[in-house]
Amino acid sequence: MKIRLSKRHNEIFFAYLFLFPNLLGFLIFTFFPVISSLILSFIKYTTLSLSWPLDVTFVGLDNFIKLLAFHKEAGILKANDPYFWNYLWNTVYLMAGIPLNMAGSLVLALVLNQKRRGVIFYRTLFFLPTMCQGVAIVLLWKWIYNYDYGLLNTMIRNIGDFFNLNLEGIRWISAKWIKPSMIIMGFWTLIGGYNMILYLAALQGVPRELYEAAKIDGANAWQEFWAVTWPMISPTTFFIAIMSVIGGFQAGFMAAYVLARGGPYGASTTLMYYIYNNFYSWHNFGYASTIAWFMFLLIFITTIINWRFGGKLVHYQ
Amino acid sequence: MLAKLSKRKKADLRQALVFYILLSIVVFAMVIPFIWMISTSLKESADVFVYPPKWIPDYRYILEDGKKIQVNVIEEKIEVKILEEPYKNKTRIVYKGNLFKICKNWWKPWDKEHLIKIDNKFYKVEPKGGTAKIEIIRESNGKYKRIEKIIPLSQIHRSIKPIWSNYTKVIEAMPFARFYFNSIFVAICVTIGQVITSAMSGYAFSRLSFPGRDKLFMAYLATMMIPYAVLLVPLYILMNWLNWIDSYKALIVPAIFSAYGTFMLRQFFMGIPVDLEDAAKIDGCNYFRIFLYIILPLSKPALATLTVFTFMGSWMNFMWPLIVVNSIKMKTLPVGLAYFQETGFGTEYNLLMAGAVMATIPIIIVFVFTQRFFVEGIKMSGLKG
Repeated sequence: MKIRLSKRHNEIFFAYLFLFPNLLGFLIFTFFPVISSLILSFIKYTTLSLSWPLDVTFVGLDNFIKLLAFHKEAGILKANDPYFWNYLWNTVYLMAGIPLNMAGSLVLALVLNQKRRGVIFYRTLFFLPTMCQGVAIVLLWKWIYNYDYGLLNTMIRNIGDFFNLNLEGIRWISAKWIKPSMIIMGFWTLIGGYNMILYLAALQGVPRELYEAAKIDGANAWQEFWAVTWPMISPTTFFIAIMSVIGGFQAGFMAAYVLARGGPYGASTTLMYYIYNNFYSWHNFGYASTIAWFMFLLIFITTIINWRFGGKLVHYQ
Repeated sequence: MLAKLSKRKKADLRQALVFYILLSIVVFAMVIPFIWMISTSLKESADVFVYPPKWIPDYRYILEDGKKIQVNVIEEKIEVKILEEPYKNKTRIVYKGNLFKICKNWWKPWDKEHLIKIDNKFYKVEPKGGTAKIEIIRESNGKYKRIEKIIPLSQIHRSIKPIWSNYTKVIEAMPFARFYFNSIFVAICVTIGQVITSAMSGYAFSRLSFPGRDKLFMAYLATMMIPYAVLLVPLYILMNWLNWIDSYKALIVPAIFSAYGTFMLRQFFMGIPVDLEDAAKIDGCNYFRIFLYIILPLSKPALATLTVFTFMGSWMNFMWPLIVVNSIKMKTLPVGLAYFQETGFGTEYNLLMAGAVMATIPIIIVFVFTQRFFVEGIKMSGLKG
């Protein structure tokens, strides 16, 4: 017995057939969690028991008030959750590495965008840290950052010897220095990675005629870069900047975890780490969701600002 | 004419020089940490915390009847000739007893000057040989005997000795092969699952019309903007309900279904000409055959890109496996490596580095042969994004 479907029904049938696996997974593992996370952010839920029925109380906006509001204590305005603001600052501080990484990647791409022997070799070499297991790289840097015997302090002391300065080296993994340490580590890891390859592709896409025209006009290399290259690759710069900022808000968990467990004294705890602590270490499921949604809001607003103001600076062909 | 040519050649030469000098600096900065990692991984525990650091793991031996016998140097006495009056510079110095070494040039760490400290004043000296108190451990008839001797320094030699047993120690302490297997198995399952389901749904969204298509697609797009952190808590609770904690299911299944993959492949499929499909339809192909024999073969670059990114994402994923896995045998490579650090090996950097080498070098070797594939994939993601 054969069921004959009309042409239209046949198409709809196949469409749902094709969609079914992904849609099912999407509903269970993305859509449903997003909705429940939104609900969770209005709920106090701190017991260890995860079995049904859940031991929860609806608390309205309490979580958001705890997260964002201030109160007066002995006449001084204090945040309800001072840790949160501290960790937000850490996250923003670490994002200072983004322009550095981008500039480094661009310089490397400019250098590699020449038809010379060994370009592929260098490109492969610079990409290696991106390929390596991130935890291994952080462990390596933890050893490089060792105060007494690490590579970096040895170098600093040797330089000090040479210039007759009494350099003792830096306590890289201390509350004061850990954020710059993480930025340096990120710079080393990311400079030759995805962004450099995107820049290389963009540079190869710049039409040769433009350079020839610039040459005829008597532009030197510096002028050529600012008048031709920079505007022509601005869509790539814009793309990388937006993606890096979105990533930046969510970054830093693994590095902070392996380097110093978010310490010393929370100096390397980022928003992502705070969410992890709240829900995994302290089982504050509701509060963790609140922070996550606030993070979404931050990402959303910065991305819109980027589109509005950054988009104007981009030169599209 | 001739002069002009040589001028251009000169400029070209100068450019090449700048190119290679710049690159060499970057290469140096890139490679040194890796060499440091390998060097540390082959050191004895006692050699790890030595200042200045040794780059090549070595040991000391004396020759007895033409045989090398390893010795431990307990004390060195070096005779020196004082060359100069008080050395004025207050410098940071490498110490060995009260004889000091200072590098003349920091880029030539082997080129050292010797100083001596007497009454808080430094004098430049020239070492003239000396004696060392050494310790030899001899085995005879299953018993160990310790001998102490004083011999001239000139009789002590050095030789390279990589400690390969660091690696076996790490493997004994942690099931690294298992970590590797877990990581690879999870990454392969996630990648295959994600590419197949994303391609199927991407096809449905790009080529077939059905009620509610655009609204559904908007829902997909909307969730792409939501950070992973938002999903983390409900997914963790869900894993608990399903009793999937500490299983491959928890590592694989939630990662398979991706709105991003669907979106990316849909965009690519939109660019494939419809005429081809129409021709196939007239020939009597159904949608399934069109998908399999026309769409998929034409979208190899997009599929390759998604494969690369999914595989890398799964391979590097740290937070999710950290949360859903408790037992050692279920840990993936990154989580296993982090765990290794926490189980009392936190300061044994030679072992930690051996672990790091094991986690990176095989992948580096694979990457060197497949890098073209990666680079093309990244380029495409940038153009589409």
